[in-house]
Amino acid sequence: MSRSFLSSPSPAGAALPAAPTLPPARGRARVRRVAYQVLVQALLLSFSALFLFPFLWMLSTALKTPQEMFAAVMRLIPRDPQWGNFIRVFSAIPFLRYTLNTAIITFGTMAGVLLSSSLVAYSFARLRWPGRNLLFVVLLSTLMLPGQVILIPTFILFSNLGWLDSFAPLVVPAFFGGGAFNIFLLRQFYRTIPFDLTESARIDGCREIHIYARIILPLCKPILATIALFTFMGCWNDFFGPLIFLTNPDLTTLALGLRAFQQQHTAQWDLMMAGALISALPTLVLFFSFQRYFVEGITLTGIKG
Amino acid sequence: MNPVRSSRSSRSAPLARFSAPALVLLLLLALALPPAVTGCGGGEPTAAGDVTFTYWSIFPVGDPAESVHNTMMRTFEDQNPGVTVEHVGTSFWDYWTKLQTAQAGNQGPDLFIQDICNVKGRAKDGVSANLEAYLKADKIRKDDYLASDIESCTWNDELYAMPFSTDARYLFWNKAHFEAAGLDPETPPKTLAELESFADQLTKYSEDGKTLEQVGFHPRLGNNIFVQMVWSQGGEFFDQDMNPTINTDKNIEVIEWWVRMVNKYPVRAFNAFSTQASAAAVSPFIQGKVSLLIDNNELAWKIKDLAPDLRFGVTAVPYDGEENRTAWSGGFTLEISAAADKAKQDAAWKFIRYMTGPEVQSNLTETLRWLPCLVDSLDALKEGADANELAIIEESKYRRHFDYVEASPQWWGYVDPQISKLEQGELTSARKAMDLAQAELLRQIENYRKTSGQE
Repeated sequence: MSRSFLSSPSPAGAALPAAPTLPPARGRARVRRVAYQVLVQALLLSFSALFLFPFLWMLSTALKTPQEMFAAVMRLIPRDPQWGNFIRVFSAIPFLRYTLNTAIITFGTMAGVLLSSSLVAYSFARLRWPGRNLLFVVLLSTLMLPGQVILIPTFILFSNLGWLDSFAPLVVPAFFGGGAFNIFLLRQFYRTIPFDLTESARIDGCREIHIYARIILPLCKPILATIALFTFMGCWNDFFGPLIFLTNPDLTTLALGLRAFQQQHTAQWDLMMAGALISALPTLVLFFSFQRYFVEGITLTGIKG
Repeated sequence: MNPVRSSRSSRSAPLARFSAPALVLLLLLALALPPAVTGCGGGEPTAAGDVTFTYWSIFPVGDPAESVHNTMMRTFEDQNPGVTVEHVGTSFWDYWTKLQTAQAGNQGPDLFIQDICNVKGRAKDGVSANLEAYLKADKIRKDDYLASDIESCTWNDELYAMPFSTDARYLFWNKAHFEAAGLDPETPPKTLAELESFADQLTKYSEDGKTLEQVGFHPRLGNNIFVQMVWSQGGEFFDQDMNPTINTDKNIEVIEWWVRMVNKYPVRAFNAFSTQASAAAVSPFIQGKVSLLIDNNELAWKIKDLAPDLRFGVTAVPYDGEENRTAWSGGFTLEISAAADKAKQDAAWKFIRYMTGPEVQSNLTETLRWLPCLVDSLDALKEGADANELAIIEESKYRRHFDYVEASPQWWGYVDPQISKLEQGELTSARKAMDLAQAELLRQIENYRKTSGQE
């Protein structure tokens, strides 16, 4: 007959071993470690709550009625949550059309940035040609140019090209360099890859484009993911570019379209917050999906806040 | 050792290692994109003689006023066959940046809404078209509009903009607060001294004296500016030749009153009060936290929406003598681009005539909640109006816009920082503060004269 081992008696006469007693010094050290951990976790939780609060307030506002929003006593949890605001925002503005426009611009720009900045950075980091360093300094100096200074000249340039009121001014420039900051990030990353690796490939007769595409790029996933994420966030939330270059209402983007809820003297805060929450979702999903690469990319290039 | 440096091949012609087809492919990809992404524009061809003009406004898709505005445009198109309005709306807060950038790049609209306060600058710079010929041809009388509006739209005695809508500043008072403080709820303050005295009686602190529960009157709350207070007391910032007169005795007297009113409230208590009030994103007057407030007519409409039971009154900002009765005002104009071709200008003018004519102007308050500029339309609002609405209509006839100074269109920006320094105790003498403002503005005007070749 089988017996449950739980009910089996301990060997006759054998007493259970007593728990080992820690020497007082080791016990104190353990207590200190635990206390330290509790303190650190409490601090981190507090900071998380602090940074989460605006997001919670946005959600709360999205669910309130205008009367509750303007009530003298402010409440975080709405009395009568207006879930319908998340539906209304789709009818108040062409939300899906705006999302599609934003997606076209964002993914077009991402493709351009990843393709061209990785190529340009490859040239700066791995190839040797006259004036390379000088040109890199010139490139970096473009980071110092304030946007206001180049706004009118760029506008006139795109106007002369006949690109105004289209996605071209927002997408095409990405295919011509992909941005000085991205090139800088990639160049720094490329330089960490041993030169022996590419030299061996050259000796074996590998073409430069194949070295770039088959050896270097696969090693650069973290930094490419980082740049992709930066570009996504920059384009998805870009307000100024679409404001200046797009005029046709059918081409409006999400960031621009949501602004319609804010008028001169009033604002439809409920709809604006509902729309802002929905439009923030892709960024959040992307961030959490690529968080590992993102952190790795930042760490490896030494770009830290 | 850097292998690239040691490599003979890379030293010679590294780019040659890229295959030519790969480079061509990349180039084509980049160049092929423009048509793909620019192919979104284009419009329907129009019949011969038909005119389409572009019109930019502050009513984007999603703005509750957009449908009203669209109705106006469609009605106009029905009344003017062959004329099409191609409308682009942008949020008020971003409209100005978009418009100015587009106009700087010569890509602005044919017709646009603009701010009435700086028409003269656009007329001088050749941005807006001269409308005199249209006015004469259509026998439009400038007298049908308020003289101050027409004056703001005039440059070298000729009209460059048509006043479309306006606002004005008023003193709002909470009648329940008056009753609670033992004041007559039907008698608002008429002078600055009364305003100060009433404010003192209406202000309430918590029992421990640290928290402001009710503000009697604070000049920085609402939609107010020191210029309004100075004008209402007979002060002026410029003489008839537009020379600055910031540091006159009268101006200093009013600024001293302003600073005294601000300093009645402890900084910490007032900051806490205003932070809490602004967090609610609605006027503290509507929240019942302020007893007397200077604001524009929009506040009256908002009260109707958000606090219909609030008992309040509207009156003129306290003034010293009938000749100084003033309501500081802004407003929008409609202007035609000087760069537009004649056919579009003509069509745009037809639209202006419609928008500034009795049909639209008489309904402007009901539809867009703006005050009309056409005097007859303003007077027509009196029918069935309550006491507050009557006061809004009556006081709006005392409107005055900021003086236009070519060398410094935003001249008040030289005075306000000095007043802030007085409020914060960085300066203690109003005379010294106004002397500094006067000196800075004179310096700016002098610089402008030198740089613009006027010297």
